[in-house]
Amino acid sequence: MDGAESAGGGALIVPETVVQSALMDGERVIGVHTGRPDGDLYADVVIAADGVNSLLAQNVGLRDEIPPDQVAAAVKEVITLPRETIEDRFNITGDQGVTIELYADATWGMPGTAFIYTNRDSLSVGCGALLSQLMERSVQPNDLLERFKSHPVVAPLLEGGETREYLAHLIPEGGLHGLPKLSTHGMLVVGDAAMLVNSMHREGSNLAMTSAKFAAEAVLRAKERNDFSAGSLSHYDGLLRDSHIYKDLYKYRNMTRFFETHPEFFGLYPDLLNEAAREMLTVDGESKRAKQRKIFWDAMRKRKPWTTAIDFFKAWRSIA
Amino acid sequence: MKKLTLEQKLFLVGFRPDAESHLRIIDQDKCRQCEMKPCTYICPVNTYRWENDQITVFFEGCLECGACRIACAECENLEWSYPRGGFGVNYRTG
Repeated sequence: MDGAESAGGGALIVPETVVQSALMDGERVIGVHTGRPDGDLYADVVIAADGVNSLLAQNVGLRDEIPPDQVAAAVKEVITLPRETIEDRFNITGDQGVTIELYADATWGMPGTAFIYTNRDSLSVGCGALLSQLMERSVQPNDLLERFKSHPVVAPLLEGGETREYLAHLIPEGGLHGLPKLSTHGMLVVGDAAMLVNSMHREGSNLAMTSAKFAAEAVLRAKERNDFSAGSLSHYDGLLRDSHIYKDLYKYRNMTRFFETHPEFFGLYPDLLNEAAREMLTVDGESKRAKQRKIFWDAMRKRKPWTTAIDFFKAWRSIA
Repeated sequence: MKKLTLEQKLFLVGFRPDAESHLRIIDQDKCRQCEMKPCTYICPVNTYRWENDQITVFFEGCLECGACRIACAECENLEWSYPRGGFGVNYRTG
């Protein structure tokens, strides 16, 4: 707010007000209808930044309902811990912080992520998985989180902490294929409302901010020309396409689909790795060569090496 | 670390419940025919419960995530909107 005022611009924040639908003039978006009495607001451009559920983008016809395999359901707890404890446990000092990301068994074998992030005097501990998988396996998200928190590798990190809040959120996972129409006459869509999330890198906030910056640039340009048509505003699409956002989403465009159809990467392969490491590093009188043979034959029984090789090659292809 | 029940976790969250629900089941008959009833387990706060041969909606603790809307999208039996302005969940930590 201060920044906007000092720049000579203006920003009016209207809190406790819900946008219920877009105001249309034919195909043109000309404002929004809110829940307040006499609550219609008119605008040259509406920028939909209403999050992953963007009812506004749906209302205008820029996107359909999200398919359950293009979104993850995640829950999170904020757990307070004294700063000194956090520094001790996570080996940090001063302004440093840590992010820990876990896969496979941490999300019960479902495509998704569990995470532990350190804050100043608390931890953000969460767990999320593809909604279609949660539905198929009848998993309650809170149960998934509790299972994760009770794991012997995780529990000690949380010891002594107190839960301060519990939160839930949907995270876009459709990648490039899940993007809605991003611009139309009188409207732009940014951030989660535009499903702009790079799930491989867990980048959503930064894509939201960058896309918002591009939207602002497109609007300013449209204002100069006094042209708020779809053609003019599609300058926004161009800015996205030329930026790292599109390039990153293009790079990982096949990733979600690949890992959804190859659950081995969240189950069998991590299990085999764990078993191999345990066998190799346990001193029990057996020679290392014999252990190696044992590991190899055990893996062979569970998965043909040719299939494994193809799996990893395809996995590499889907993220490279 | 002390394990909290879901109800206990919800006590930690700030809400301003409205008098009326912002979530509405359109046709309970469809729910009776629904085999999986995903809404009853997919909701992070157990908003939807199957009791007395129908779905009861405990909207007061809704975290407004939207999972239920997508889970029920096939039947299109759930009217989902945000609560009225000023009502609903109010996170403190973000």
